[in-house]
Amino acid sequence: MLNRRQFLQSSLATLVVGSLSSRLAVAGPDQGPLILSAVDDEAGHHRIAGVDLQGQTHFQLPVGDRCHGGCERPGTLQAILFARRPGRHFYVVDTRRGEIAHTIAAGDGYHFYGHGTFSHDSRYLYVTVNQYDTGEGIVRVYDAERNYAAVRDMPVGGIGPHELLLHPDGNTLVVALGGIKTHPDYDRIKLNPDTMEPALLLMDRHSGDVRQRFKPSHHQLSCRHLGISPEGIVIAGYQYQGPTWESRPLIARYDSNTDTYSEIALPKSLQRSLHNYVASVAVSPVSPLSLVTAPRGDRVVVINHRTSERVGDHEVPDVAGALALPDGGFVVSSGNGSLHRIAADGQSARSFAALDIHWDNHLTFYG
Amino acid sequence: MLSLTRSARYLIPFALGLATATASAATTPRQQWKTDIGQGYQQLASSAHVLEQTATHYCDSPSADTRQQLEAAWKTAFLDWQAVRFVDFGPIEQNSRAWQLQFWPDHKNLVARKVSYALKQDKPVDAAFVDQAGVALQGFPAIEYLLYDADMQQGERALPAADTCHLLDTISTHLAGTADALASDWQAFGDYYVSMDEYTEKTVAAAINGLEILQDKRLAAPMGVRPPHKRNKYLGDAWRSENSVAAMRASIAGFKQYMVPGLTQLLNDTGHPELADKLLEQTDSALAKANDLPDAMAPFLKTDEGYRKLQSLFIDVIQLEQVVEDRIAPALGITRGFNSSDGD
Repeated sequence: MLNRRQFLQSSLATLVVGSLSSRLAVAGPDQGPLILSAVDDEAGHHRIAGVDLQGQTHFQLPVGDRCHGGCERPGTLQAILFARRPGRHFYVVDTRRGEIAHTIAAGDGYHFYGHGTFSHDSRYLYVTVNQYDTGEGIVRVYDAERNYAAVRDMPVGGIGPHELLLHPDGNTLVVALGGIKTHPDYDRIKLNPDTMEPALLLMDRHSGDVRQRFKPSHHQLSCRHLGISPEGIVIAGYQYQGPTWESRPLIARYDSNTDTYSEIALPKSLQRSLHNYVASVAVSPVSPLSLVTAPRGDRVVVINHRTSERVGDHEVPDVAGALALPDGGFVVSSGNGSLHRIAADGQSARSFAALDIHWDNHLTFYG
Repeated sequence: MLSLTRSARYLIPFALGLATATASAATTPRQQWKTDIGQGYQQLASSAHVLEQTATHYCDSPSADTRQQLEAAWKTAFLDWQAVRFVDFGPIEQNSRAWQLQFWPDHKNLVARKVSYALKQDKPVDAAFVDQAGVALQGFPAIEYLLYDADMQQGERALPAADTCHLLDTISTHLAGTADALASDWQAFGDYYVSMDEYTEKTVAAAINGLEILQDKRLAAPMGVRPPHKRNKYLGDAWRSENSVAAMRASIAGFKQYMVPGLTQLLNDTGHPELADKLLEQTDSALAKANDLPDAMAPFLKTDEGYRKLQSLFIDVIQLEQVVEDRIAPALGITRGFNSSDGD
């Protein structure tokens, strides 16, 4: 919960902009890459923000739901932002015009979990959905070329699918299955803590068959977020639902080349400081480094996803979203409005912008 | 939920170290909270067991007397819960226990729906049924519904009807189990709590959060403070038993009993005795206002004079919240985060 008064005070500070490396400099305000994210303004209104890599705001679009994750529609001007669980809409953003092109509803009896991903040809959008009376988790397929008509529901055989991404093979959807049952009547209350069955799933995007299912080392390790490297290494982030005073591994690794699933333990004090909660995962498209954010511990952890070794960790208060950039660096956001750049070697973090908004848990790269 | 600024994270241990060296404090603030909150949970577990036994006694031999004992036992246990309701970290986070104890607010009247459904079963419900029925059937509001709901009292299923008594027994047993687990897990949690510096921030955050809920959800909402300025007693706590104000009074008293001693020590240890004085003064002022009011809220919403009394309590609660959030938290270097509570 945000501190309204203190935020109002701190937000009196105007936009502070630092400089990024020249490789990221963009030709014009409308042509460069954008960071999209769900944000709240200081009055608590929900918006979708588009800012450039210098932290300059290009648009802030009012929306009816608090949004969560998003994805770029490759090769087009569109990007999608999804309402946060138990939200009922996703929003198709025209990034050039800075406006919402379509608003798509989940339909009666369904809500979204906040994440989706496109097929490589940018036609089909795969979205995690809850059919909430049965609690059945679904990957729903939308056809972007037919105004986002829903074309198919593919059950995941479990509860609470959250983030999903398309494997570099172009055919396999990698789905983080949280395992937590919720129902809109009970808002966000977790209804099945004792009987959770979280997993990391591999699903064929054509047939809908779940080909493989990997289980975390404890049934209350809710598998929520993930990233994938170009060579097919998946890094997933857990949120532990068990006792606060226990400490369990929160980072999982699946290597599709060797078909091995493992968990990455951190040094004890660092592990404890994450407070059993990983929010975002970002895997570099160009280097062997991955990054996870832990807002409850105000901490960013960088690992080498090829070797599973820890590379570094950095304190970022109320850290939220994470993004891997094409130049090898990372950007992370904070609920306090700041943006931070993590260097490509994972060794340093520095703030480069502060906006009058609360960044939500995920950043989406457009460009 | 809270994040200390970089400087404050070092400042507090340093200040505490100084205080230990000069004043040789016997216990730390977190040790104080561990003891106090643990006592609050013990108290709740104890009164929840009395409620369970009283329910059995009433159903075995229903009479005006045993009914009165049952209603008194419900109220005592419910108010013991109000006293520790501000604690939102540690064992209370497990298994949605706060919701199990009190499903509230209940905008969709799920408590009524779940109780009605349970009473429509062909055979009497068992513990497994209540375990699986969800939080709306597992706590104080479900028992309150059986005891006080107007429609419920008039129907043929009114207590002490056998199936209803059986449901009452089953729910009160579940509730006593929840309270027991909370109390024993707090003991297991205690050493970890004392060892982790972050819990100082979380504890102060819980205090602020509890006062904000008191102010916004439990008072301002039924009072219609915000547009459309409609007064609505159904938005308060425990309106069926007419204990909305009693519940708030118990929460303020619980704040004084279980939160203030540890926070006072922290303020004294860190060189802010004037804030410790202010905290106690404002807590007592809010408590005095609440003590002046009877248990129910509805009658106060009907007259201007009554409404002014509620406003007077409301203002004192706002002032108490402001002392903690705007003066104490900054003095301790504590700021609150946006994503760290339930980011998803």
